[in-house]
Amino acid sequence: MTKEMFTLKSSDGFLFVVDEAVVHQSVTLSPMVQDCAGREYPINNVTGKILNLVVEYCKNHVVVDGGDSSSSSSSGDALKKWDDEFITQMDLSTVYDLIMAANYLIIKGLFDLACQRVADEIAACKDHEEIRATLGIVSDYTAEEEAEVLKENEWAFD
Amino acid sequence: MDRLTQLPDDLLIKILSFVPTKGVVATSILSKRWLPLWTLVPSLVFEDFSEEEDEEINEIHVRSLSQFVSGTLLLHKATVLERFHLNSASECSAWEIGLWVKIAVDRFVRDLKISFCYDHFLVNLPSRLFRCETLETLQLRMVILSGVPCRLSFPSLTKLRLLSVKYSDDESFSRLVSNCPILEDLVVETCHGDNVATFTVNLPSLQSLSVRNTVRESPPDDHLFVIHSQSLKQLNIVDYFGELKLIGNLPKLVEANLQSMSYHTNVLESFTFVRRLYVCLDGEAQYPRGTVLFQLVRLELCSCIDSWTDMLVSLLQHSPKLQALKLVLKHWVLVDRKVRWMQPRRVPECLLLHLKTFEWSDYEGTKVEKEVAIYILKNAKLLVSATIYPFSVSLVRKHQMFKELEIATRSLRACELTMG
Repeated sequence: MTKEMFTLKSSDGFLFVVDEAVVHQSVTLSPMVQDCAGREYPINNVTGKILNLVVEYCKNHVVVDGGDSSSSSSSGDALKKWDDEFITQMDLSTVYDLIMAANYLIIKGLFDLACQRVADEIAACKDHEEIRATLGIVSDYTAEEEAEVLKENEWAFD
Repeated sequence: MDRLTQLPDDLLIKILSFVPTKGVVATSILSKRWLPLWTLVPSLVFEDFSEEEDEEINEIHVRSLSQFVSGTLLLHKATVLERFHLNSASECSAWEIGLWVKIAVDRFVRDLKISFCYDHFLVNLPSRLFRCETLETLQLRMVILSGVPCRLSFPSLTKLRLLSVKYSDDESFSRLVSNCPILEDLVVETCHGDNVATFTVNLPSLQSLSVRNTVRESPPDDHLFVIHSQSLKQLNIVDYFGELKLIGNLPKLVEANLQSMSYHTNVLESFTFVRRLYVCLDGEAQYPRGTVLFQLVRLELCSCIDSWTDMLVSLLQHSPKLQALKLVLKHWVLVDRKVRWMQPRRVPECLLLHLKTFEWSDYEGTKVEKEVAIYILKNAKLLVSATIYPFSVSLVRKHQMFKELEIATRSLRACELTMG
């Protein structure tokens, strides 16, 4: 029996042909398995660049049935390593897009992976100024307002 | 360009739920939009860095953990607190911790962790914790439990980790564990002076059990584990001094990791359905006769005991369907230990008919090891992959060991020999 293939279309017109195992990883797309075989399914708020990454992630996460001859822990480690490399090589801007795409498509593993990447960046910063610098956040406080907010935070920090 | 701030609030809050709380509170100062967000993050993870020596690692200097946790809980607004982790709270008092746990339970906590690092500390856990309907994961590490109520229930608990916990008596432990009707994953690590002699695990729902007992207690306190859980799929045992009783067979067992220095081989009698097995047994262990491992597909054997070759032969003879064999050396051995290789009278069925993969980590090239390797390589007629990882400080010696084996088996092997 040949596998059913589905065509996903990004917001900017790129087409991605994927099989059922990939589609099922997205809670949003899962129902389309019933209706859309053979037709193009438009994903209006995800660009081709990001959809490409989503498909790459899902292809790597297709659960292999059985898998008796290799130990479960070693294949789990290899997958984790792939996930780490996958998410670390991206710049933060792409990671934000991936978060939104994974959120819309409801792909939990990818969503958590991308959020964890941003979270790690925040956790690694020394203070709020470094967080601002790393994440490119622009402060809308005036100097006085900022001093006031800092003072209010004295309960927490030295 | 501030792209992160373009994400909607709920996504920012989700991202923050992966950050330890002191980092989350720091984000309140980033910009006006960020000010209220931290109070809505449904996860509070507290860590105490006051013991860090290196100032550079201690990034954001929290005033004092006690003050920080109290302040956070007072200002925190999320109605549901999904995760509450208190790590290294040694400076906080037992009643304080009890109070915080009460708040977490009232806020429908799902994942609770109280963990200390270097020493055991008493915590006064509130009775409402022991009836918490929302709790799904509980981890206690180096905690002294002052008391476990007589009536308790954890209707939603699926993961329980009791690491180096001290109880008041045997019943405390069994009460705690047996009132978890849907528990799937249990990890127990013993410690010295934990006041429990027999750990009884009688849980029909349990799928994964890990036991770690590396503490020597003098009898009658030496730890005995009685395991009575027929649905187990995964069993990990590291037990150097205690004793283990498996009641009944384990028909659903898929993977077992048995690292034990006591006489535990009768445990293998319950493993007849296991598919993957990692074994490192005591020097006096003898393979239980007549125990056939019908479904064993992957075997990993540690060669640290003197009689390992006998264990290997027994395992091969009793694993008719074995497809993958890996030999490892995970423990120290004496350089001049007396090991011998007794070739089996009949070649084990699995070598002739099923073995596809053979790996040897930490191959030291001793006379006995060479004999074993040659025997396997020459008799495994269906071998597809054979990898040797020579163990030596010298690269030259590594190549030498490999080459010796390669040449000795060249015309006999079913496949290429690769060096890892």
